[in-house]
Order: sequence, then C-alpha cells, then structure tokens
Amino acid sequence: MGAGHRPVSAYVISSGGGVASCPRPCVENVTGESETRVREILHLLWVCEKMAYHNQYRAPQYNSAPPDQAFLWNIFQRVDKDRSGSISDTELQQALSNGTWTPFNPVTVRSIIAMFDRDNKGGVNFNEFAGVWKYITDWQNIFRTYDRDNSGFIDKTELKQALTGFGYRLSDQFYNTLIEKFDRQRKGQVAFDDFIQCCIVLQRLTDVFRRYDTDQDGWIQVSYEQYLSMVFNIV
Amino acid sequence: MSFYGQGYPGAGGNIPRQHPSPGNPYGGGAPPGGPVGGPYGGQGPPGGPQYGGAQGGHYGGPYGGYGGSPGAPGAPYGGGQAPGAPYRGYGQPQGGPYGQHIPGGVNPEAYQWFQTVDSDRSGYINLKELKQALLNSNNSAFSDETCLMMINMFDKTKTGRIDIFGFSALWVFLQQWRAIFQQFDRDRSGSINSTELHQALSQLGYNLSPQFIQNLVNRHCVRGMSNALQLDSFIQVCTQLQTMTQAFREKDTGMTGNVRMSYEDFLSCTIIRLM
Repeated sequence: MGAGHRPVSAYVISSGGGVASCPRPCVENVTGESETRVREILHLLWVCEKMAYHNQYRAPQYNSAPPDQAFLWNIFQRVDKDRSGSISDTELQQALSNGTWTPFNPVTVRSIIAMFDRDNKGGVNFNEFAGVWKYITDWQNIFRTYDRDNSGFIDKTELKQALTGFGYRLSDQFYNTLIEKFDRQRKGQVAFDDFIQCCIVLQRLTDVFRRYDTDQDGWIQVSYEQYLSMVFNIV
Repeated sequence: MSFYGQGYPGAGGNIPRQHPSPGNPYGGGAPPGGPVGGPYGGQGPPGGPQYGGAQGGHYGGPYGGYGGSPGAPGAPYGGGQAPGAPYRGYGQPQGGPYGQHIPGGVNPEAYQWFQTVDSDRSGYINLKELKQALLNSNNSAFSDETCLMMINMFDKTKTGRIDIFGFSALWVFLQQWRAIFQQFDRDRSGSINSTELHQALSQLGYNLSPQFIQNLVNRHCVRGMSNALQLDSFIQVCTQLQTMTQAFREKDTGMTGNVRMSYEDFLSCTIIRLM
C-alpha cells in the first residue's frame, strides 16, 4: 500500500514488491542456466511425473544440471506423437495432467498454444515448446503454493489468496462468479488447468479495461462497438 | 431496415444462437416468438421458447441501435425439432449411441454422421475428430478455435467432447450457419468479404460501422488469403457477436448504446459469457 498514493483503481496491480507475479508468456530462449532455472526443473519433472506415461520421464538429473536442449528435445519428441515436428492441441492436452483424472482443459491448451505459436500454424515447434514448458511450470509453481494438500484443486479462499497475491482486488461475490465459471468439475473448487485459464482471462480483461480506464478510477464508459472491440479477441 | 427484421413479431429464430450455459442466469435470447420461416428456407429450428429469454424479441433489427441477432440458429440445449432439448434424453436408458435405434431427439442425419465422425468409436466427438470432419469451401480444415468454441457450446459435461445429443444439436447449428453463409456469399467465392459481412450483419440486425467490420475481417481472415472469412471464422465471428451483444445489452438498460461500467461489472458480464 504505497503511502501518499491516492487509492487508485479497484484493480490495482502493484508493481513488484514481493507479490507473486502472474506468469506471462516469455518467448525468449529459456534454456539459460540460473538458480531459478534449477527450481523450475524440479517443477518440470513434477509435470513429467504427472504426464500420462510418467515412467519414461524420470530423468536422472533430478537436482543436477538444468535441462539442456537434449532434455527438452526428449520430452518434445515424446509429446509430438505423430512426429510432425509440431505439437498440436491434442498432443499437448494428452501430455498434460491437471492432477485429477480428467482431461486437461482444452481451452487452456488452446490459449497456451496460441500464445507461443508465432506463425499461426496450429501447433508449437521445438523452440516454441521451450516457452510453453516454462510457462506451464511457472503456473505449476504458483498453483502448488496454494494447493497445499496436493489435491489438484484450490478452493475459493485459496483462489482469493492467489489472485490477491497477483494484485487483484475483487469482491467476494466476484469470486463466486469465478468459481462458478471455472469450476469445470463442479466441485466448488478450481483445478490446475482451469486456474490457468481463469488467470489468463482475468489478465487479458484487466489489460484491456486498463487501456480504456484512462483516468484510472475503475470505471469506463464505452459504446457498443468499443465494448465489442474490447472483448472480441478474448476467448 | 433488414427485410428480415421488419415488423415480424417474434423475431423467432433461425439464425444460430449461442446458448447460455445451462443454469446461466441470463436467459437472454430467443424470443418466444413463433417460427419465422425466414429467408433461410426454413432450415431453422422452430424458434420456440428456447430458454425463456427474458429479453424478448423486441430487440433486433428494427431497433438499429445495436446488434439484433434476432433469433440466430443454435440453441444447442433448447432449439431443435424436439421441444425439450436434446439433453432431455439423459438419464433415461438409451442403449448407447450405437444402439439399435436413434436416441430420442437426435436428428437422424446427424446420427449417421456421428458414427462416421466418431472415428475411435468412443461415443464422443473430440476436438481432433471434429476438426477432421469439417471443411471450409476451400477445403481447409476448420480452425481449432472454431471447433473448440462449438464443442464448448454443445458439450454438456465440460470435458471437451460432445456426445450424440450435443452432436445432433451441433449438426443442426452447422447446417443453419452454412445456409446463411451461402446466402450472403453473393459472389459465390466460397468466402465472405467485408462487404458481404456488412450486409449479412445488417440483415441480422447489427448496426456496426464498416470500419469495425473491416477490423473483424482482418483479424479473422486466414493469412495469405484474400481478405475474407471462411465458413469457420464466419461462424465464430457471428457467434461471438451474439454473445457479446447480449452481454452489452444487459448493461445498457437505457438502450442508449453507451454503458458506464465498473471494473468488476466489466469482468463479470464478460467472463460469464466466455466460451
């Protein structure tokens, strides 16, 4: 809470300051080595374990070197079942697990592929896959912090904590709406894949709202066409 | 304005209509108006009180203000020949999709198609199977986005696949959109350019600027193609327009075409409509 600042809009997302930041797609080369990278690998491997054909994935270098290209390539090839050199929605969906025994949310899969699929070819190639991998593990990292019992679900309170951590200030009522919308399994909780989708949608809507809320008071006045333009590409 | 809008009482629908997800509080939509034979050769489901839309049929073309979409095809969970929705069949022993007889409420032609499209015979159509089954007029496959949108519209279980009942409704929905597409593809090019889209949307009751429509086309046309929409993007654009118009309408209680909304209002009314 910055002293001296007027309380800005309702949706303040503070910059930095120790709060978790929402993963954004990073399309850079992600095979560089760093401390965080090592932590990511642990999560990568966690994802691997959760993959449908987990046994083959128990890579030996559990806490040694970060995954090199060869490691990612190995995974890429396993996911790219038809050996097309590009991972499609279906292939990625089959490779991912939400930690429960239900198929990974296809909308989330589509959102993620679309983020990294640069030339709109309907899939990701090996280079792009590195970004996908990092993106998913970043989310996993966050999700696990809130899913303390590893159930694969977070409840409303945890969702609230997570989003508050990102800087969202939303009413209790609105969290009900979110749960209602993103609780595909009708458990009153949100699974990992749906959580990602929920956050992606919130990010996009918030970004676009901000652009129209020029005086930052949390209110906008828009015409019909403006509204359509705002929401049209947010699927 | 729209020859098809003028003066008809119920604006009953035969244009594909986005369904609100079951249980969605906003019943918006198909007016309880009777069937309008309409310009589309009566392909449409008899409009019917599909979801008892509180919004009624008085929006739409004649208003001009903003988008009409008076009764568009679709109504996955409602419309269709069998009043009572395809999903009524749930819970009753049906003998499975490949049983001896066609399950109640399922379009017989759709039933035939289902068995072809369901290549792994799982009893469900997934994204891949649907994509393989649908072609644009230039022989390109339907986009992932459009297929996914349609699956979500007709997927009762939210698992990313549709059963025979959902497929039957989807099949009807597709037939209707195809007919509309062909009707507005005036130059028979197999695609809808921005002029044609403008005409189509005005006739469907939307009052949108040429610039906006041009942007829509630019954003949705396939790269490398001439600036026009294939059937898949056309369906996607029109369906999203319907949905988002309903969202706006709900907020625009004074019918001024302008809305002031808070951040959370904006999020809620949009999120609830996303597919």
